[in-house]
Formats: sequence, C-alpha cells, structure tokens
Amino acid sequence: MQTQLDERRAALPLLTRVAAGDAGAVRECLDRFGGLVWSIARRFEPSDAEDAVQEIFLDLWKSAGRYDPAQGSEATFIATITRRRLIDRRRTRRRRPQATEQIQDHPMAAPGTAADTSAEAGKAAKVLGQLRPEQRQVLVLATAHGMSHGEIAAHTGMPLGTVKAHVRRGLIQIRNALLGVQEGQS
Amino acid sequence: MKGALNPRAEELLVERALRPLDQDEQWELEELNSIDDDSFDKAAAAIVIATSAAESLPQHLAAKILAAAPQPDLRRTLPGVIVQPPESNLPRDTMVGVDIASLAPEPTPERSIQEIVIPEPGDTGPIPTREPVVTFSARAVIAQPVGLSRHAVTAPPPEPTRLPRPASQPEVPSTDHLGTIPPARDGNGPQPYRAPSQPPADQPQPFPRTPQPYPSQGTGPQLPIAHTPQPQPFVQQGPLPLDTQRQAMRGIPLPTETLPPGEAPPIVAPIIDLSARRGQPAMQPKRRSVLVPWLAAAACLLVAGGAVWWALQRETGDGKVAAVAPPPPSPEVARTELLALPDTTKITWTATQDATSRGATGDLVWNQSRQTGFMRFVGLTPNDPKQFQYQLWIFDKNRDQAFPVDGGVFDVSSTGEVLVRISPKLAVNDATLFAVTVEKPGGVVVSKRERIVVTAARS
Repeated sequence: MQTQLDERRAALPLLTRVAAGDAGAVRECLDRFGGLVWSIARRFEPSDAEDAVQEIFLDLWKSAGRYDPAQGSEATFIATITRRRLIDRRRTRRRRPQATEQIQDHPMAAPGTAADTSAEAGKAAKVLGQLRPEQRQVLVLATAHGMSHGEIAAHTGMPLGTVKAHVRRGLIQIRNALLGVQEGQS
Repeated sequence: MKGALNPRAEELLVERALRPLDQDEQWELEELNSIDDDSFDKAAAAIVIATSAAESLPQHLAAKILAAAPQPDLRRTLPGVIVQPPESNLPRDTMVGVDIASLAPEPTPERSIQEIVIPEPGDTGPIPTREPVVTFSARAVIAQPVGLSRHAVTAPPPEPTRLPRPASQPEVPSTDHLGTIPPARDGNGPQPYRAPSQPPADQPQPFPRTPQPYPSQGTGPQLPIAHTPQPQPFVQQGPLPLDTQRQAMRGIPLPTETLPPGEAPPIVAPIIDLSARRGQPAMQPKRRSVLVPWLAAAACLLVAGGAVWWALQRETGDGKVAAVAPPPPSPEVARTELLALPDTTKITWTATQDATSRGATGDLVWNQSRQTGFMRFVGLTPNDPKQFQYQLWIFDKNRDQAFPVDGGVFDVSSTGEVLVRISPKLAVNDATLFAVTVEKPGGVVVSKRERIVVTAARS
C-alpha cells in the first residue's frame, strides 16, 4: 500500500507535490532548480542575489499549486516566476545594473543544466542560434539581465530604436517558436 | 488563428515581459482580452533558461530556504474558509516522510514480542483528510509494554462455533507476508498459511497450536491483535485481502479446509497466545478478560507515543537533530498570540457600501516583523468561489501605490465570525492600508478596484 502511494506521488509533477506540502518535493525542487534561480538572480541582482532567491522561493512555494503541466515545463514556470519577481524587485528599488558593471557574454547553456529539462528552452536556444549576434546580445540583455532599452543602448552603443526593434522581433520569434506558429502568422 | 494577437496587445505583452506595466496599460491589456496571455513571459523565461550557466545554489542559502519552506500538510482549516486542495486526488493520508514501522525501536530479544496487526484505514485506499494522519504499517512490532501482565492479555475462551463457508465459494488461500499465495507442497495449488519455519502438518508438532477464535461479540473497543507464539508464529505478516481483514476483525476464522483434522484454524486476528511456556501447550484461559481490548488500545497509544518521542530524539545523518514541527496552533490561538506581541497592530475594518459588506464588522491584526496577521469578519456575505472571491491588498509605503501587494484570495462560507490568516505574496516593508476587493475566481494580478469591500488604514 505504501509503495503504491509512493509511486503515485512520484508520478505527480514536482511542483504539484510541493503544493501538496511534500517536504521531500521541496528539497528536490531546490536541488533541481536552485541553481537555475540562483543563476538568474545573480544576473539581475548581482549584489543582492541571496535575498532575491529567498524571496523567489517563498513565492514559488505559494505559487506551486498554479503549475499546469499542459502549459509548459516546470523549469519554464519557475523561470517565469523568477523573472517576474526580479523585475518587481528592481522596479521597487529603482536600481538597475550600471553600464560599467561587468556583463558576461551570453553563451548557450551547457548540457546537463536546466535547459535540458525545458523543452521551451531548447526551442529558444535554436532560435537564438539563428539570430544575428547583435540581435541575440540585445535580446539576452533585455530578458536575462533585466536591462532597459536605454541601458542596452548605452551599453552596446546601438540606437535606441534599433534596440527596441531587436528585442521585440526576437521575443516574437521565440514566442512563435514555442507556440508552433509560422513566421508571419502572428 | 493560433498565436494571432492584436498589434497593440502584442506590443503591451512584449513590454510586460520586460517590465511591469502601469495601471493604464494593464487596463488596456484587459480590455484587449489579453491580460492572461503569458506567452511572451514564457518566451523570455525560455531565453533565460537557454542562456543560464550551470551553477549551484550555495549550501548555506539552500539551508535558509529549506528552513523557511512550508511544513508538510500546511492546510488552512480556518472556520468559515473554504480551502481548495491543490490536487484533490493526491494521497494525503500519511505524515510525509515518517514511517512508524521504521521508527520503532528494535525489540529486545529477551522480552516477549507482541504483534499488533492494525488494519489499513480503509478499503479503497487513503482516506482524504484535512488533518495529518499517521498511517501505520500493516504490522507493527513492539515490545510488550511494561506493566502489562500476562493475565491481562489472556486469550479469550475458545468458541467452537464457526461460520460455514458457502459451498459455492472458492477457498481463499492464505497469504504470506508479501501478500502472495505460497506454493502448495505438491505444487498444484494453494496450501494453508504456515510460517516458513513451521514443520509440515503431518509431522509431530512440538506442542499443539492453540489459536483461539475471538468472540464476535465483545465489550468495549476491539482491536485485532495477534500474538506470536514461539516457535510457530501464526501471525499474518503482510497486508491481508480486505475481506479477510474484515473477517478477522469480526473474529471469523479464516478458511482452513486443508488443515489436518483436529487442527485449529489459523486466525490472523485477533489471536492472543502466551509464549512464555515454551514447549508446553499454551495456557488455556479460564475466562475472558474485558480488559483485553482496552489494554490493546493502550498498547497502541504507547507505540504511537514512543515512535513520536523517538522521532523527536532521532538524529539525522548529518548529525543534526531532526526537528518535528509541532502542530500549528489554531487560528484563534495564533491570533491571540500575535496580539500579545508589542509590534502588532489591530485596526477595525471600515465597510463600504458594497452589497457584500453592508453591516459587516471585524478587525485586522498585522505584525510587521513577522509579516503575518489575521483578518476577522462578522457579517461579510458568503461567496460562491465559482462566482467571485475576496482578495486582500496591502498598500506598502515603499511601493508604487498602483501595485499593492497581493494578500491572497479567500472565501467566506458563513455570515458568522470568519478568521483568515494573512500571507502576503511579497515582503511588506511598511503597510499603510489594507483593502479587500471582490474579484473573479482565483483573484487578479492588478485589481480594477471596482468593488472594494472593506478597508483598514494604519495610522
């Protein structure tokens, strides 16, 4: 009987088990996605990443019940919550990364990282690989580092209008790839 | 068309994936029926994952997060509040991670061993419950409780009456400890259950087995108890078929047609045998003690108490004492305790003219340092969660007033006093105003504030 229950639990999505108060699932979630959240937080808030990560996970435990496997992978769900929380924190604190801050290049995620657990990330990586380098750079600075259009323009030296266009087109392309929409349909 | 969007909605959704929208933009997006479209957020998240380097969360940070994580089975059981389980079909019958059988201390070899067979709580699987329920394994082995005299566990007198098995009913084979049917000696069919060490029935027995059928009628609560005679235990060592369990609980002997003539049927439960007189026939009781079921119940309590105590004292693998969280206090108690703290604020609700709150009263208790509090309502109109829900908003002095902190949605099921715990989604630095609005089921990210029910301003 207990084995059957364990098997039924194991078959449930991790976040569903977290929402149900499964302490083991909480630890497993932290093991699997802690590095991802930490990585994102360090890019958005290099000096305050620890506080941000704690706040994000607090939010995640509360939001876990909203996860719907039909809507995407757990990694994408968690990354979405992480970004929203970080954007909100940044807005609240009125602090954005300075142009002088060291922003590393944006390589594709190495195999074995959270990207492997997210089908959406795989599709996004494919589209990113097809973009021109400057377009990819702008898109990653905007989405993965939380920089504003103006900050990206200052950082890259590109005209503001070009930055806006790159970000918008890039996001639409990746969104369409995730939805399986052909170019020009949206 | 799949993915097709209004150009303005697309523009706003792209912006929302990069920065929070202001109130007007939110309203505009809602008017365009695209407020729930998170496809661009997912696209941005996918980019983030795709460009994330492999990093590990620092251990000290992971420990902090785990310490702040919710305890298992945290479910609000507030009076008047309807709690929707996140997964209604999730088994919730166990205290997660606690296996009572594994926690039980090893029995002392010198002491006699008493086995208590506790049936599973239900025949259709776990019992959905809002309270944590400790599920015992099918078998718990405990040392005989101190002070439990031998006479106290005297077996009931034998009763020769036995319910006949319908002729058409196939014989039900006994099961072994894994619940499987042991092979017949001749290999052609089932054989009556025997312990592995038991000699064949056609050989002389060291002493007669004396399993006694338990009377079907008794006084007081009756727990199915099986005692392990030595050297021939007759205890069912695994989950029994449900029908068999029911039979055993009623004291009905199990089918044993293949036993040699004159041999008493093996009774899974309840059997109480005395094993102290090894090599001699088991003691035949003179009379049945009415204390047996009560003592059995007391033994169960001792087992449960001992297991919990042992769990509290148990050390984890990394040398730290495992913390077993005490049950959370009731909302009433928690609210009273919160009120006793010096930095707790109590504010009376001010009802608006909304139909749901006319004549409603109550108060709000908030503790800034603990980031928690309670709302108390009397006379607030009960809601149908499928129609609308109440949502609390906390206005933070240090945040944009257009984006108050979401205090969560809640339901009111009665017009009497309702107590709701406040768990804000974000840290509240300096709460200035609390407001409850009526929103669509599930709540909203940004309220239109069309129906404000009550407010409480902090001075």
